[in-house]
Amino acid sequence: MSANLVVTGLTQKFGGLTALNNVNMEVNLGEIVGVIGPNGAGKTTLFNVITGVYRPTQGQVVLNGKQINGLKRYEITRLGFARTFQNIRLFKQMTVLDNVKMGMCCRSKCNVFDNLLHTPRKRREEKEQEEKALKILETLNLLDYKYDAPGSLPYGEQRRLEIARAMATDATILLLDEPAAGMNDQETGELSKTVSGLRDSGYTIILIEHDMKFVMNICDRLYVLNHGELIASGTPEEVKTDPEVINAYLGKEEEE
Amino acid sequence: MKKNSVLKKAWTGLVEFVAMHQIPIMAVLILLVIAFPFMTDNKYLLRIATLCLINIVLGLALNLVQGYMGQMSFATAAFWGIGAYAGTIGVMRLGMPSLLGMAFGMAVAGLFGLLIALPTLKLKGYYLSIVTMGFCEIVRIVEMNWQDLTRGSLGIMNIPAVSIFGFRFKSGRANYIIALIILFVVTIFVKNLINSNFGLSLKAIRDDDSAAETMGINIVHVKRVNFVISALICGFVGAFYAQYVSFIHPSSFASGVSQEYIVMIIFGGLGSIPGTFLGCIALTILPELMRSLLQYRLLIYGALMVIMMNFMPGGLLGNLDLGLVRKKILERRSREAVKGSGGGDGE
Repeated sequence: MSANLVVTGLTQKFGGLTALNNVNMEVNLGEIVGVIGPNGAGKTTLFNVITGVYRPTQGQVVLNGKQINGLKRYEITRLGFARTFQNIRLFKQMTVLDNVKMGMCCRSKCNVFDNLLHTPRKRREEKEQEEKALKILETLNLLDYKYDAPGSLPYGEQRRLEIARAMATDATILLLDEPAAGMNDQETGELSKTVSGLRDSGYTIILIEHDMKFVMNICDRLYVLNHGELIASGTPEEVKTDPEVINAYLGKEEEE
Repeated sequence: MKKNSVLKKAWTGLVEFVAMHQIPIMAVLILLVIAFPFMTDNKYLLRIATLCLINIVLGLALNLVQGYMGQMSFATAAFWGIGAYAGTIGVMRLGMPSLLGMAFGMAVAGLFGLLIALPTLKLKGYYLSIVTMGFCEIVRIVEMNWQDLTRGSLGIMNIPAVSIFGFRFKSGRANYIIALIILFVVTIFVKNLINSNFGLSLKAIRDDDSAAETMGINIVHVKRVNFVISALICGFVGAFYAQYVSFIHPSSFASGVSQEYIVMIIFGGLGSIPGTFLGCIALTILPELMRSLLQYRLLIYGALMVIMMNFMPGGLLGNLDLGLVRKKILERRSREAVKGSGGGDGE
C-alpha cells in the first residue's frame, strides 16, 4: 500500500522548549493510526503542525507527494484534512445543523454575488448541503438535536458533533484529538463503533487518546511519543510489550 | 420570580406566534409602511419616518460587521459621510445624474472600506474599533478642512433632489418611498447574505475564529469582503441622504454619530434583522419625543447601555432567528404527531 501522509524529521521548537524532536511518521490510506504518550509528550503539537497551526522548525509534512507544511490552515483543510479539538470548540451561537453546514462552507462554489442575490445555483447548493448535513448528523446519531445550541448537548454528543463538523469539510483524513475524553465506558464503546464505521466508509483516521482500551481495540498502528520524541511504533501488540513504552508510562523497574 | 416567568411565557408565545405567521404579518406591515405617507401630510412626521428608514439601512450595514462578524466598528458615520460627500461632489461638480452620483458615493465609500480592511482585518479583537474610531475622526477633519472640495464648515447647500429618468422627486412623500425601496433591497441582500455560507462563515468567525480557519475558511478574506459590503451600503445611503436633505455638513458624520448607531443595534439586538429594525426605529423616534431632554441625551444613552449590558446583553431581540423558531415548532409538532399516533396504536 502506498503511503498517504508522510512526516519526516519533524522538529518543533518554542523558544528553548523542544516540543517535537525529529518525529517520523507514515499514515496509509484507510488506516486508523493512534498517537499516544504521557501528558505533554507533544501529541497535540503534532496535530497542530500537520494542520498548519504552527510552521515546523524543521522537517516536512507530505501528503501524496505534495509538501503541505508552510501552507495556510484553510488551504490544508481544503486538501482534505479535518480535525477535532481536545477542548471542544464548537460555534456556540449557531445550531447543531449550522455547525455541520459551516464545515461545508470551504467547498462552496458560490461567490459573494450568488450569496447576495440567492441565485438558483445558490439555492441548489444550499439544498444539497442541507441534505448532506442531515445525513452526517444521522450517521453520528445527532439528528434529534439539529436545531439545538451545541452547548446544550451532553458531553459525548458534543464530541461527536465535532467529528460531524470535521466530516462535513469533505475530508479524507480525520484527526481526532482525544475523542473519548470524559466519556463513560458505554459512550466509548459506541464511539469505537462510530470510528471503525468511518474507516470502513473510506476515511483515514489519526487519533490521540489516553483511553488504552479504546486505542488498543480500534487502532491498526500506534505511534508513541514521549518528551517530543518518537519512542516506539507498530501494531498495538508490539507497542504494548515494548520496554521503552512501559518505561515511559510506568517508570523503570530497576530504578529503585 | 413568578411574574418573571409569566412575562417569559408571554414573550415566548408572542415570538412563536410571529414565527408561525411571518408571511401575513410581514404583508400587513409592508402595506402599512407603504400606506403611511398617503395617510399624512405632516412634513415633520414624514421626515422622521424617512430618517428611520435611512437609519435602519445603516444599522443593518453595521450589524453585518458588529453583530454577525463580532467586531465593533466606529466607521458607520465615516462611510456614510464619504458616500454623502462623494455623491454630492459627483453630482454638483462632475455633473453626474442623481443615480450615478449614488453609485459613485457607494464606490468611493467601498474603496475606503477596502483600504481600512486590508491592514486591520488581519487582526482580531479591538484593533478594528480603534482604527475605525480614528478613521472616522480623520474623515470629519478632512471634510472640515478641505475647503475647495467640501466648503468646510459652511457645508454644501442646495444639493439637487433625487431625480430618476428626468423626474425630480422633491416631496417628502416621494423620498420616503425611495428610502423604503432602498431599505427593502438592502434588507433582502443582508438576509440572503447571512443565511448563506458566507453568513455561516461570519458567525463562525464571531464564535471562534481559529476554529473557523481550521474548518477551511479564509477568515481574513471573508472579513474583508464583509467589511467592504458594509461600507458600500453606508456609502450608497449616504449619497441618497445628501440628495434628500439637500444640505450636508461635517458635523452630521462625526464619530459620535457612529456611536449612536452602535447603541441602536446593541439596544435592538446584535445579529438580528428584526432587532436592527426595532432598535433603529426606537432610537430615532425617542429623541424626537424627548426634545426637551435633548441635552441629557448622551446621559440617557449611557444609562440605557449600562442597563442593557447588565440585563439583556444580547439586546431586545439579540440573535432572534424567526426562521429557526418556526423550524423548531414544526419539528416539535411533527414529533408530537408521531408520538400521538404511536400512543393511539398502543391502546
